[in-house]
Amino acid sequence: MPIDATPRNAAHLWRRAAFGASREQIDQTVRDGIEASVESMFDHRRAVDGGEPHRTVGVMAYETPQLNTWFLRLAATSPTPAIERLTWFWHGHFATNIDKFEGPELFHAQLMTFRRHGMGRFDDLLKLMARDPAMILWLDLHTSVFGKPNENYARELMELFSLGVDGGYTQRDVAEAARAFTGYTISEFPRPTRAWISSALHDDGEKQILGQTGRFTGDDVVDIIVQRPECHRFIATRLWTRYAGTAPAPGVIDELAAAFAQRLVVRDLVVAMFTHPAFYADDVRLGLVAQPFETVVNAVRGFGVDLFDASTQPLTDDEDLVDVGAFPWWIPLEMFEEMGQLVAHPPNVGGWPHNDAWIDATRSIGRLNAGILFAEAVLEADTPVVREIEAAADRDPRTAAALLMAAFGHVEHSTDTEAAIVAALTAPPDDVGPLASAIAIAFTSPEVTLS
Amino acid sequence: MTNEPTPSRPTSSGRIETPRSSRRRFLQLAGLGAVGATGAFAAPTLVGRLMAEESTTGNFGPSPGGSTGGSGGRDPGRILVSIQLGGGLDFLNTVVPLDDPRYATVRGDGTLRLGEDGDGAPTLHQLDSSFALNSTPYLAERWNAGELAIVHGVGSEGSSLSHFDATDMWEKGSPDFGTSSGWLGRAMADLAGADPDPLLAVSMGGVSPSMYADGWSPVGLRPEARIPWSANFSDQYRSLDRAMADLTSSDGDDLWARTRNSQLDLRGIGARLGPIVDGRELRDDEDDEDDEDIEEGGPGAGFLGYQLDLIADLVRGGIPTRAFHVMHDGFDTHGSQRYLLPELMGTLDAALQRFQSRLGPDADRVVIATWTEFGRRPEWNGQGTEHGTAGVQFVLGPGVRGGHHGEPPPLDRFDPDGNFLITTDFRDYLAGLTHGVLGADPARVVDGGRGPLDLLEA
Repeated sequence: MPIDATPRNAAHLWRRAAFGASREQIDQTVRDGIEASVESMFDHRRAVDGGEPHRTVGVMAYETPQLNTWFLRLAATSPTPAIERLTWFWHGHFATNIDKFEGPELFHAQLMTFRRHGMGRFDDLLKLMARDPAMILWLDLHTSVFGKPNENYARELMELFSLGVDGGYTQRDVAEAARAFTGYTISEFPRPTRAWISSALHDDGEKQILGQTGRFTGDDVVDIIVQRPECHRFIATRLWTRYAGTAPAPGVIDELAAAFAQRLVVRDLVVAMFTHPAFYADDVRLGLVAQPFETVVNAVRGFGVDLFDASTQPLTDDEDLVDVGAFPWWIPLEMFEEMGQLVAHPPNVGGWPHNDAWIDATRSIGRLNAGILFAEAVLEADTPVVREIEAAADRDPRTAAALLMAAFGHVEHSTDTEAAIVAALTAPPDDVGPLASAIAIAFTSPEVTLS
Repeated sequence: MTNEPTPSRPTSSGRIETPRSSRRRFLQLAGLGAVGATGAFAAPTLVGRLMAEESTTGNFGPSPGGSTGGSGGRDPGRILVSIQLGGGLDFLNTVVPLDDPRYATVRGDGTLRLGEDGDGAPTLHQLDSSFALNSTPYLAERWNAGELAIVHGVGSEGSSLSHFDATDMWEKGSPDFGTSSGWLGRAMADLAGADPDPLLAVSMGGVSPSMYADGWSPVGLRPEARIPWSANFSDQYRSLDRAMADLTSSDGDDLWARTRNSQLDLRGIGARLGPIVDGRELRDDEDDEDDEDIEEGGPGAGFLGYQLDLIADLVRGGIPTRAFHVMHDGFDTHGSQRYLLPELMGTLDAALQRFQSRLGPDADRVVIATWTEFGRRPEWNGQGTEHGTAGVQFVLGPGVRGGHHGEPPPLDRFDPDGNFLITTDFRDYLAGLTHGVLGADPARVVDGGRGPLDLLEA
């Protein structure tokens, strides 16, 4: 039975599968239906070239700020934001921190692997990760050689990437898999760094892994893993958890895992999830705290911010070079920092905190500071969306409140939030101005926080 | 060694003991989540509590309830400042066994000697006939004053050589990660009872996982960031303040209610912190030269000193916090250890001196304790040292039982991997801090172990 294509369900789909949507996009989904919209959102033929951060030698050139600025713009302006969001999901899943190694281009290459292969076969993705220089350096795979296997990669492969901590493997399986992955190494010179498999460093002996015996390579280990029902359930659960938030209703994971197990194609699983009735239940709609990156993308998208294009030019800290009235490139970065999340900087290989870990007094300090930063900058930038809200505020604060929440991808909102926005808009003038306060209120509201 | 750990209350079967505990308490301890437990955090907003405090004390002084913990009465109790020496501190070249001939055998080219000072080389400060400290003159002075405890051979049998796993183990206070909550979080939950004040624990920068517990989450502050609802803030943002004052708290424990209530909590926290932090100089990106002075936290004290400045100001301002956490990172000295280690320890030393002096009379209440996820391997790799097992920890402050605690790992007997033997269970170290500094019940905080080290005078 098709999902009821109400504006509420359509807006929910866009906020979760992508980073929110305009009223026009939501109305289009209402006309097309949820199922057709999901197919189109995850249609790789509609994807554009993701580009790459501008390569300039220098401190500000091609490192964390440039990477974040580039990826933010891609996510906020892409014609296929759902594909960018899935790329973001895989970044959190195979959480690699750029601080461990030299070479931001290696991190960019990893994101591009997620972008190209993130909807494809999961076994391909796992095999590519063992050949990904950033991943190899991150988990010291290149130091794991015949006779001295390092268990780091093999352990995370099973525990975090494919089977889950209760995924039916033992320490013995980890140790044996580590032997299979010996020789997966890199050459750092000549540049660029590339991965290769050294037969001299590889332990070609017999191994016993998850009940099977053979002279396995790393690829063989992946082939063994992806046949396990624990793997199908783990990936289905991981996707559900990160996109839906709440614990799934009984049976839902079984259905999703079955859809995934047939061909091991991630897109099958994602489409099954976004077209499952359980995904549109009230507890799911209010069941997930947006990660800071997602909130910032939603905000800059929704207000039509003309973002700095880090793929064509390097960042500069010379403020004279930033146009008056433009949205400064450092505002999103400061927002990320306030809210505690930077692309390429997960706290550890387990990825970022999840769901309610983002709600506490600390996070609300960061969220409010970020909301104020955004409000002041977007007013300065004076985008058409801002002008529309401003005009409405003079006539009818409640209409302005609705427009404000619509900018964040919401077609409905609570009376509580509306009252606070109206209170801000009708307050006597102060240093920051009523509209900035109203935007900050919306940014920190439960609606936007739980997008 | 002079101070042997006092074994007490062995726990049965290595699990967390739960005397007088309800099932809910156990679930909280085990981090399994308990129905209604988190509601305690969500329900009473800080705004309400703040008003109650104002009417009784007229000030933002130590909270009359909740934060007095096991100390009893109105005694605000000792304050723990937990400093994480991230990366794994090499104990052997930090607390140097000068008189042990096996030292040079083990460490080879990495061996440090008295009288090789200067020009980037470490300066050794002799403590007694056996040991010298590397590049920490202030700590050596506190040692002589009897206010520095050195805890030897700390770790856990069979613990991981991975930074993540070993850090996890320390943060959780459990060798097998049997919990999702952290040891300090559980200590706070034990002190806070039914009315947890988020300001009971404050973390610098991101919140340390050691401070999380079910129904309880601490506050993280970035010293370089503005704190909303400081006095200037409410002037500038009157419209925002007014709009948020209109928000109503939400009943229940769902995400909506918790988001709304965390917004409201923020206003309360800001109002309590505002009077303390207003007037502090914030880092100013526009002015690089001043910036350095402020962010450096004084000569040699580094970013650690800058963060400790804020902690000192908060303590002096009467914040009811019982535990602070701050990270001092960079001890993963696979390479360049000969230069990095003295620099890092020198920064720690300068920062602690500045901190205790800035605390003034409040220094009497504050105990500083370090922890590092593991020590490093015995042998020198040519440039530095690899991940190892046993580590050394420092406890500093008035009331600390100065001297050596625990046995230094032998320099001629190793575990099957050639690593140093653990002589002090890390849980006994954490239990000692829990009991001695915080006055909380170690059995509710630490997962097993032999019993708390006797680190503090009663």
